[in-house]
Amino acid sequence: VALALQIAGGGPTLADPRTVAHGKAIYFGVGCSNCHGGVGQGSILTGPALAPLQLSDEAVVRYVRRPTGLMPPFSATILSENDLQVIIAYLRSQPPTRPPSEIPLLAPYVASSRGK
Amino acid sequence: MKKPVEGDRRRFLKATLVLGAAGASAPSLVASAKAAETAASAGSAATPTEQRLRSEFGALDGHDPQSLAIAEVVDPGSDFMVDLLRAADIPYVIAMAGSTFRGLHESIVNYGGNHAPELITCVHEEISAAMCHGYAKVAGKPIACMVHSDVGVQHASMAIYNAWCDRAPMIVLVGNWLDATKRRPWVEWDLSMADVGAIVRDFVKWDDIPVSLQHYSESFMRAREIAMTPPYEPVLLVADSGLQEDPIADRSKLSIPRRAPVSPPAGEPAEIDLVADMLIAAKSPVIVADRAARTAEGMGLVVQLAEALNAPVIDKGGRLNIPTNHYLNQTFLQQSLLAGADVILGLELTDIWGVINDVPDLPGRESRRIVSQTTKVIGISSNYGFVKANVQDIQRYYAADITIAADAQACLPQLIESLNRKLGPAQRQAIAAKKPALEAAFHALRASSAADAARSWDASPIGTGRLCMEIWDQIKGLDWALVCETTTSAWPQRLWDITEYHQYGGSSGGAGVGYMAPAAAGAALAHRDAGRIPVVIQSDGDLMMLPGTLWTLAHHKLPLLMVVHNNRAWHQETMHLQRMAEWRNRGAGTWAVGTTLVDPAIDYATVARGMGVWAEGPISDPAALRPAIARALAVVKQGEPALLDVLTQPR
Repeated sequence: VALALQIAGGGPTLADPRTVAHGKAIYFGVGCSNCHGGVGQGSILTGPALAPLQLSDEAVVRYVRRPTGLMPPFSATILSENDLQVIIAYLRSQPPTRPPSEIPLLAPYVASSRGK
Repeated sequence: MKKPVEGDRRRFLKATLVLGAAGASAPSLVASAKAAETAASAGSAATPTEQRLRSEFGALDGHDPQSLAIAEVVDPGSDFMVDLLRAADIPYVIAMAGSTFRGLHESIVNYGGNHAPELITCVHEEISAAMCHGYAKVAGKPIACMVHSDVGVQHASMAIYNAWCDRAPMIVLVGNWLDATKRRPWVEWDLSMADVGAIVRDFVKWDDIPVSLQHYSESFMRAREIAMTPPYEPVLLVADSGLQEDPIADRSKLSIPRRAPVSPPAGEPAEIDLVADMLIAAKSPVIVADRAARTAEGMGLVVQLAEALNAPVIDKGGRLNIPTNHYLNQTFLQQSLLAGADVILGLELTDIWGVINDVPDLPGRESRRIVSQTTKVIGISSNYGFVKANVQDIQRYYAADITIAADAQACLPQLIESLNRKLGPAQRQAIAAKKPALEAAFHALRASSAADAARSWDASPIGTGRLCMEIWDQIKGLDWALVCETTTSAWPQRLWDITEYHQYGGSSGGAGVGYMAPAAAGAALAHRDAGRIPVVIQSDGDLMMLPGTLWTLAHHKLPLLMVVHNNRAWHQETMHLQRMAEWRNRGAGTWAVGTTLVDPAIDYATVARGMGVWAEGPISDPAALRPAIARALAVVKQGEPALLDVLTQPR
């Protein structure tokens, strides 16, 4: 279920590396990575991509607390506000995805979509 | 020919002792002696002595062993059973050794010369049966596994169940002593059942306990044809141990029936015409196919049908029903296509209800229809006429608008002919006009999949998209096959050009973990004979069920590229446990308890090497993947199995 609620825009943020490292630990620890992948890449089988994060912090918090799709809710009892914020920091720290056109093994698929 | 005699066990013991004393000179005996020597030097069983045999098998009741004549058994019943295997075109018999089929085992090796059928050695009966399953889907015909009475059937049962759910043929031959007066005390009673087929009767199509060799002969041929009449399914035949071991009373009274292939059931012409009318009247027909194509010809028919209507196809993946690079393969647009369909044609779906409806994994499990209320639904499947009560692969009942109990592949020529006969010029023009949009949707879908794969391209552990595309890049120029579905994010179906029927092996059917490795080995056996390079993207949890498969791969030199998708978990279960905890608002972070394969992490390369398989790993650097695949493929091209252990993202 997509988190396509609000678009915040922007590239990776320059958060404190310790915050990012802590966010990564929480991201893996509470199991976000199980469905959304270790770098937030998502999977058609389990959950949408989270990186690059295109939602505002508020939208992420709102959805995580009260999801409307298949994702189970994470209450403040099991995921504190602070932990949720550092998860967001971790996701925002992810580098931009390389365009498939720049990856030799994927470029032909992009070309085919352009009718070549 | 000698008549059956009492005390045959004692004569066997005597013969064993005499052979042991005389020494061995024939090549096979030399090989056996070497094997025994190897075992002894490794600290296992010692060479049998008379004293040891006496202690193991009991006293000889006061008889002097030297006074017992050696009775030569000429023309044993199991030799005739080998003749039957040959007549039925069974090139392989797969088995872990067991005394209840020692007669047939010996006949295959010595009477048959261990060629067509050749004995394939396994270390677990579940491997034997799963190899039959994997072989049948590649070769399009059954082979047999021999299993050891009740214990062997129980071991094999999981793999037989998978084959049942996957509509795959195999012949399960069960050794069993029917005549209670011939059973030795204790163990042969424990290894006998009055009705051994009962263990798996809920998921074999037919079973029998022949009580004479002629009965066995006719039942064997019947079993083969039943297995190969759609829906294909496993069958089981008891090869009574007495029938195997006793001499044939009179060969002239035995006969082997000729094979009599059965035409699959096809639909009534009038019903097929109704289907054609409904499809022609539809604006947005969608074809959903699961095990529709039984052969390469069947896949060609699905393509013909789809092209005749320019109808997108959703391939459920039980078999390859349409090439993945065909513009009408729009499997990954399933949700929107079904929502917009006005007619859905289901071809060999075991779960037509599940195409039309869903039960979201949410508390309460409320079901919901996911297609329009006005959508017409057609079901063609041989499953309608063949079900069992206990197993629930029958799925939920759905009242389709037209239901035809017939083999879909057998119906397709009629349906295509009916469409061609009925379609007028204006209708053909309207259908042709759909093609540009369908092609654009297909290419957009592939581009979207490529973008998805790029998201974790440089990740470590390695992204499954990167994993699959690195493999694809190195096999696409070969005569290759992907022998099982993957537990990645369906990258091969999304990005590989899978164009030949034999290039995709589909799913387990019954979702029984432990299928992939042995089914891949069975498929590798068939692909070896066809000169192909088979590949399996092997789930780590699945491999741990039957790791002994690796030994069979090495022992029989079965070329197979096994790339372990090692996410160090039964990953589906991690997500299930996590959902439970979060719904209950407790235990965040406990999802790893009982669902992960860590502490210690398993070193699959070491496991494989220990069983004689070339292996490398664990590989976690994506840049190291490409050269490692090249090295492994070089081994496979030389006719050997190779394993790469790759640390991966979850899906």
